[in-house]
Amino acid sequence: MPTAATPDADDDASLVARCRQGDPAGWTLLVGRYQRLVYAVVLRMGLDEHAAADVFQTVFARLLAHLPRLTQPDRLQAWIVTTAKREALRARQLGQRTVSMTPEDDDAGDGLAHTLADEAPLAEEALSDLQQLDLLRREMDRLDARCRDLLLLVFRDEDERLPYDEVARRLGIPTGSVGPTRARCLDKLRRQMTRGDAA
Amino acid sequence: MKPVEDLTDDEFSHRVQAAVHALPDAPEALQRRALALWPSAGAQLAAAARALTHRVVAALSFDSWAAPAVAHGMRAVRSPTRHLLYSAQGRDIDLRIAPTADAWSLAGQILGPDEQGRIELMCLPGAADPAPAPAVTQAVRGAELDAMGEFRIDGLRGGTYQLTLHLGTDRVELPPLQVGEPTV
Repeated sequence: MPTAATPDADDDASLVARCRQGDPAGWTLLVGRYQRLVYAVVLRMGLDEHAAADVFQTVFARLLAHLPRLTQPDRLQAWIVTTAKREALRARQLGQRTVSMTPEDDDAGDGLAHTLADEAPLAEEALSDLQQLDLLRREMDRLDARCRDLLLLVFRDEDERLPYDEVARRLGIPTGSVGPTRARCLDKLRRQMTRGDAA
Repeated sequence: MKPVEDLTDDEFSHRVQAAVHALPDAPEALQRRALALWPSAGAQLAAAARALTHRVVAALSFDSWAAPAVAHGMRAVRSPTRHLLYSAQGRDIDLRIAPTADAWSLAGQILGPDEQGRIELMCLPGAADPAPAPAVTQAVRGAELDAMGEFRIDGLRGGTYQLTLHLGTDRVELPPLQVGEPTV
């Protein structure tokens, strides 16, 4: 990934200021910082691959256009989540119109219920949880590479999860040290977060 | 969601797992497309930011070299250091132009609400000494304000300069600044 492991060296306000001054590195860091969150919001809307890609692009285009007028850079995360949700909803409505599928057309008669069920993951509480998880995920980016890689390997999806000996082989460490290192890295991450030095 | 400090070790471990699962990296192609927005939009962004900048012209309120003449019969000795005070929308700008061994220095302090800022000093064309030293041939010299709002630029040759302060969204312009011996 081109930007995923970029450490949070600056806070949002600093990155916004760098973009305003024409610094492309500021934009690279902003995209790296928020690509996961935008993608997660878009995924939850159940858009197809092409619509998801369009919305992802639109959100960052709107961010770029909005940067000069952004008065509260410390609220950037909330602005991005709101914009991503709005754009994804817009894309979904557009898709529904073009597919011409109405609840009445649905043989099972559960079209409306399906639509409402899709809204559930984007309830405000779920979005708030997602923002909290995003802060934690960004803190992981600030860990040293060894800890970050280890946590990403041991916490992969169940269908992709690796046995400890494979994790050890990939990281070049003894199998017996995976568990203790995992515990130390989690502790380091937790201390990093509770110190309140999140970017 | 419970604050991190209230989580047990197991709960924190599950939280990390949830973060990894809920927030996968976007496909590389999408990230590259988002990054590629910059070359075309970046210049527009900088232009838009400049357009939103508020231009402020500072007003001179004191010039030590313009002080009234002393009473008849008294000797007037002008200090080699020139002291200038400007005001600009809630900010006081204090400048001192002092001679050094072979050039001049410009030091200043900005007192106001701004926590940071930078200055630009531009030598106005044709107004500097005819043979400036290499160090001062740059068209524009800049400096960041320190924590006290102070800055200093050394190695200036005599001439006329344009001093501009970038403070927040304000661009504060001072009237042309004469550096060097008085002309009258």
